[in-house]
Amino acid sequence: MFISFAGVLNGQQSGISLSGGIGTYELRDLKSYHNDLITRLPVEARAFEYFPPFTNIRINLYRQGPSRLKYGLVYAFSASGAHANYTDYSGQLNLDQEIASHQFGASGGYRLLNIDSYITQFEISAYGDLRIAYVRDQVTMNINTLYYYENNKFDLTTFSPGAELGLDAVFNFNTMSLGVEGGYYFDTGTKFKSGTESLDRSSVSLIPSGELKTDMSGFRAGIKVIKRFNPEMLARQSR
Amino acid sequence: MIKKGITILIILVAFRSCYYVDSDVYRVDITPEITPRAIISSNLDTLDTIFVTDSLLFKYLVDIDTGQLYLADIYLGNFHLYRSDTIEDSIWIYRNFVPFHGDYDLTLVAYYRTLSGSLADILDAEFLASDTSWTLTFAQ
Repeated sequence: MFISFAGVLNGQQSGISLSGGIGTYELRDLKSYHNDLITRLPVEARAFEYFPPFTNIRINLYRQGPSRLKYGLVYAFSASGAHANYTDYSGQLNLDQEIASHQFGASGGYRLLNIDSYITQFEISAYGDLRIAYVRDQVTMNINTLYYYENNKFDLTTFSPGAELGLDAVFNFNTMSLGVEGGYYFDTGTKFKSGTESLDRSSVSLIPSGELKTDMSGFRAGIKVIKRFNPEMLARQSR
Repeated sequence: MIKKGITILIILVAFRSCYYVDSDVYRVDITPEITPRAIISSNLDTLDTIFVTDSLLFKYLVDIDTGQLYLADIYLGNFHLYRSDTIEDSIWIYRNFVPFHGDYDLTLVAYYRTLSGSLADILDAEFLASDTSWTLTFAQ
């Protein structure tokens, strides 16, 4: 599919874009769940992070015809987490959540503005993605003391559909483009499926008390680089 | 060259997103309000010389002020003889417990909760230890 997509068709430009940046995440259910877990701990741990804005990448394999429309396949990855810790002279306790979302889907774009200059072209486009996300939240609690050790893990997984809408602004050079990209990802919010705890007997149960939804909606922004497979089409399409 | 540098930078930023790591530490200073003390006593305390000709009954009591005993180990010389998790217990000591006649130390080690309030203490994984010995003379 990749090779087929990358192939040059008459009158069509194709390429791959990679954007890396930061994303914000709602994750209300998981934040509450983290608070719930903290109350179950045998000591008063301090929560440091509740799914803060974290890096996000988006890879788009696209094809653009003579019109301003662009379409293609997209993969995106988002990650964040939550952390709590308690440490004293006798040992330490860590409670962590790591959420990662792998999103696959189709993308479309529309060029809104194109300005030619001497060495480059400046282009602003709108884009939209429809994606299905595989979301995995791994919860880990470990206790380390001299005579007691415990490492309990628990997984929450689901597939959740979502969509992203945004804008990108790039400077086109011969084979490459550089710019920025930003948008909003809307997650429909699917219920997580609970796995099983890695320990049969743990001092703290990691099983949620209620149902949890993904809710990875949030803003995405990053810098973007595009590699064109057939740069000769750029000049023609910009007209 | 600049483009390659920027590309590498973007890849590094993207790669970083694969991993969420946070290792912040919330350190708590524990100041124990009390330090439990254990007083070990036995039926042999009143004897000046303790002979074992055939058998000897050993009764002990571990008295811990505001504490909790985890377990008590009894050793004869270096040999582990008995383990108990009660503060009061007894065992019989026989002459054939040792290969040769002579003096042997009977030692009781009591492990008890520190009540420090630390993580290990809350998980019953921290202890204080006290020990007391009596010299037994095994007859020929």
